[in-house]
Amino acid sequence: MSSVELKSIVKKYGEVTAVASIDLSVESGEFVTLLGPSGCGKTTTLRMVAGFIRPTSGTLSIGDVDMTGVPPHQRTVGLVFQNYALFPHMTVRKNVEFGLKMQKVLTSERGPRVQEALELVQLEALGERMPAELSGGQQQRVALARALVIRPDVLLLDEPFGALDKQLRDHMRVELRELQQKLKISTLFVTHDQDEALSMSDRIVVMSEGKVSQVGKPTEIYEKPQTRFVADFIGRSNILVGKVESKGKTINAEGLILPNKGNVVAGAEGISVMIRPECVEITQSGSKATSTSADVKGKVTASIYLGSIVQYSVQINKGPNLVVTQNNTGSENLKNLTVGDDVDVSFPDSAIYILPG
Amino acid sequence: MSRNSDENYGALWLLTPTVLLYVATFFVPIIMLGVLSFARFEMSVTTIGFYFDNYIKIFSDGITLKIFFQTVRLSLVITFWCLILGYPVALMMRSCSPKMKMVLLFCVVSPLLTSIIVRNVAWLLILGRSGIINDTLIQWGLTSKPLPLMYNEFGVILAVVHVYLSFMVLPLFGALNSINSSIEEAASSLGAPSWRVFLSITLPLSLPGIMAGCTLVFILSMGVYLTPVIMGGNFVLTLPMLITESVREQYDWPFASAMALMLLLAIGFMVILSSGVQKLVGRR
Repeated sequence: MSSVELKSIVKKYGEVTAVASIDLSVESGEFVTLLGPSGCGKTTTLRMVAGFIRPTSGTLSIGDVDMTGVPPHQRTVGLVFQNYALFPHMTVRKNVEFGLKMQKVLTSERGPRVQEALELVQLEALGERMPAELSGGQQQRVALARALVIRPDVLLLDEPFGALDKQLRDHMRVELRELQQKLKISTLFVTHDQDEALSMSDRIVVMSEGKVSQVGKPTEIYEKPQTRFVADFIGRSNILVGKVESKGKTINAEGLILPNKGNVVAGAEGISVMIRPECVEITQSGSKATSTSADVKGKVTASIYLGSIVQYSVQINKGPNLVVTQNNTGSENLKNLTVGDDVDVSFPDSAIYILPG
Repeated sequence: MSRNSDENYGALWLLTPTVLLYVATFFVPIIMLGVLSFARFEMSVTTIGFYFDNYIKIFSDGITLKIFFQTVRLSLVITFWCLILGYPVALMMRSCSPKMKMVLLFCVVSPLLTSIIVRNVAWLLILGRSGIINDTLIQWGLTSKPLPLMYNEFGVILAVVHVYLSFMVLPLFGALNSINSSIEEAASSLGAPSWRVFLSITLPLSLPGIMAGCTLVFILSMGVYLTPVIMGGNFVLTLPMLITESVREQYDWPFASAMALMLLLAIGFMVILSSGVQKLVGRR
């Protein structure tokens, strides 16, 4: 049984297409993330699931019931907004109780359920506070409790951590994921933050310009991107365009000769090759012998210190410019690399990924 | 720090013209009103002193107090209708397109841009004995003699509501506009139908706007003079009319002053009441 299912959902505003035929499902207990840059249609999709936007065409079902034209208040969805959207004139307890009141839950039953929801987000002590007296993180927890207390068919999260500072965001990320797994609640999460998407999701739906670019587990999205957009959008990447040479044995990617491990047909051109910067190793020329397949030489043209990693730009001899990141382990080799240095560049075969299509 | 406060001092001087204007046109006349209201007026001669004649007259002449309460009642009725008519307009302005918003705003403010005489003559043409409405009704045979649409309370209330509607709509719109619509969406996602969202969320959150609009309209209605004179045609008497008459016909400044102070006190009482209500509800 799937909690949410979208079939060829389209949303047009006049001539503008916000969402172009999306198929999507959230299985029971699954955490699915809609990931994409702003304007890709991810929020529109979420709002269609919530019922605030009516799709131009297609069908939408929640808990295997067709909900396409059903107004928001007749759907059992829990919604959490980026700006929390708490009721400012009600106490925390009243905020959480609101949904139960709307569902006509008996008064005697409401108290324990509100208490349970507040305990879930560790706010049982703050029930009588007004929202304005809480910190951002606490407010977001109240919003979560308010959405969960109605035992929704699906939890919808619209960039819920966008207004929090980084430390709190990382913390809430872990907390939310643990809570979601504990309650086994189906969740649809919208974000533009790839770290959030990669760390929390069972499945990620990468969206671009109203279309789904790729659906997959976080590892698949990162390691085996299906389109150039996904490869570019998720993480840092070097994408080189090449053609197959030497009777199909090698690929010439902008001057860099790579083994044709993807077995692309001989003579093929315009192949996109992706090499993640963290897979590339650079050492000062002549400092040690390397035994990897693609030994090449290059020159450091830029170096950016980012704390835990250092990012270099390396101009390959007679080849392309590669972005290379090295973990900042404090090793002497790393510290000695400066702009203008000659370096040996190496990467394992497994670092070479040929984008399909 | 000290430099900063020096600069603030300098800026204070910029307030001087305003302060002087206020002192000259507001505080001084109010003090004069206060002094005059305790003066004695006999045989067209005003004697400054400390007499309660005027206040005793207000409470004992049988007519002034009645007209005072009539003025309060009329003002409350006008405020009520402004709220009932203005709230949907403000709601509408909040949800419509920016272009439509400008059109609505212009419509709401347009009575203020029209001269009071033009406005009331227009009402005469519409509501009068042989105005558009009565003419049409008679021609269609729906009534045999003209309906009394003006020179009564109805006409006064209608015309005053028309002008003061904008003073209700603007603060209401401001309050409604500052409500983040995701709060209402949150309520509806929790199972509240739209009427419930309105009653539980929108209405209470717009309360500051309601109080501001009502206070403003009430204050203005308590002092409105010309429109009731034209639209009521001496059949609807209000305190401002009594004050004017006392000054213009009888030259009785002391009695007029006492009545004016009474009007002022009533308004002050209402302002305190409304801010008290707002604080009470805000704390809940």
